[in-house]
Amino acid sequence: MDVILANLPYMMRGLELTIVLSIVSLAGSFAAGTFLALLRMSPWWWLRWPAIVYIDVVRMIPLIMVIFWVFFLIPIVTGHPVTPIVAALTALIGFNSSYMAEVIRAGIQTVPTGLVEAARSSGLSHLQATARIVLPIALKNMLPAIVSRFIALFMGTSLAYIIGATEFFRAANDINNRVFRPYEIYTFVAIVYFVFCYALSLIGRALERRLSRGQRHISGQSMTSA
Amino acid sequence: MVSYQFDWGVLLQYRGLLLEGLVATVELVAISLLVSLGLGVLVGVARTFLPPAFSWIFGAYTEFFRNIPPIVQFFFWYFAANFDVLPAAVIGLSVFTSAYIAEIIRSGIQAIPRTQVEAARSSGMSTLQLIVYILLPQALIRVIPPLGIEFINIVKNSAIAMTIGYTELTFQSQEIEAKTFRGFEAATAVTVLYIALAFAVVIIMHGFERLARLDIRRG
Repeated sequence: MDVILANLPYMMRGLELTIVLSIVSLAGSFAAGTFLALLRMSPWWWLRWPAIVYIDVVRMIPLIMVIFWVFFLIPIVTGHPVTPIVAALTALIGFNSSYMAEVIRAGIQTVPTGLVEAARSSGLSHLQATARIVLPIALKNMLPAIVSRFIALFMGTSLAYIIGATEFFRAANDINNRVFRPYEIYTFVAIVYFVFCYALSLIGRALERRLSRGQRHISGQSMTSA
Repeated sequence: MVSYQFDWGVLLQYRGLLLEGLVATVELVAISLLVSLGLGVLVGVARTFLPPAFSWIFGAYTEFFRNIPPIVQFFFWYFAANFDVLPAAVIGLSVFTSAYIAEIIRSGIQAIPRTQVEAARSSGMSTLQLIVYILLPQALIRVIPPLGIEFINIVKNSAIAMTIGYTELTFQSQEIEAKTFRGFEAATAVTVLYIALAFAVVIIMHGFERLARLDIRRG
């Protein structure tokens, strides 16, 4: 217990980075995922097919491999080395946007077509109807699934450890390498991750209960896996 | 674009390492798949059928292990609990995945109409017989698609075992990078192999589903 208390400030700085990484990559993958979902639903095959391939292929690759890819690929393409944090963010967004795209597509499909037709016949353009009618309603319906993706991202940030980003898990490891008290340290780490992820899952479930009062929505359950 | 000279020859030169990695990945995945399915069915059934005084323990198991990142679980079993590399990886991967599988099994059982329970009861079946002969077989067939997703997740999460030094595919790609500075080529080869493994899981699960449905039709 003393080991934990003595090194708490260092680990809390790591936890801050973990939280920042998860929030930024959630926002980034929401934007990228919306774009991918719209491409995926496009009537033109040359927009649809690349999106399908991206979404389905990325979901078959381990996140750890994606992180290595970004760490190797960006320097080769740009000629500049990339910092671990930027690489981790890019990998998390690239990886999670493929899951987000499916969440968002499922969300859009919960919006009744009658509503879209009503919007179109009252003079909104296709883009206006999508942005003002379909997406807001879809967003409400997919909130539980988005919370589940956030949990997956929160856990996923721990893999940034391998390229040297000092998030919570790496911070705890640094301390273990110095004092070698693995039992206390990894138990503490597990409890902290559990408290965050479990709290999030309770929020997700509460949202789901509120939505399930007579409404269509996508379950968060099917979207939890990392 | 900086001129990068591709040298795919390293893959041929280091095919031994890649093959070793592939075998190690398949070994870890195969064992973890069986263990997590067994654990998941056990926990899912216990949570559904035990009286509340006991079932909460299995609910707690599910909530606890699926809310801790797998890498933390791997490190715990390896560095704190002092298991060897393969057992630590199998326990970490199986316990994490079994928490998800337990929930899938539970929802599969709950989707079966109550009338079947009543019918089995009135024909004199015990609870155990009801679970083993009536509910579980139907639940398992229903949940083949979500189980398939979990099995693909096992393939993907097995890569995390490299962090405790298990010499699977991702580990070997780093080995080749360290020896030759050919990270790009090695990562490409390993990524293709992971996609192939995931496809293999998809195809096998489809096969199971078709077999199961044929079986039902035959009665």
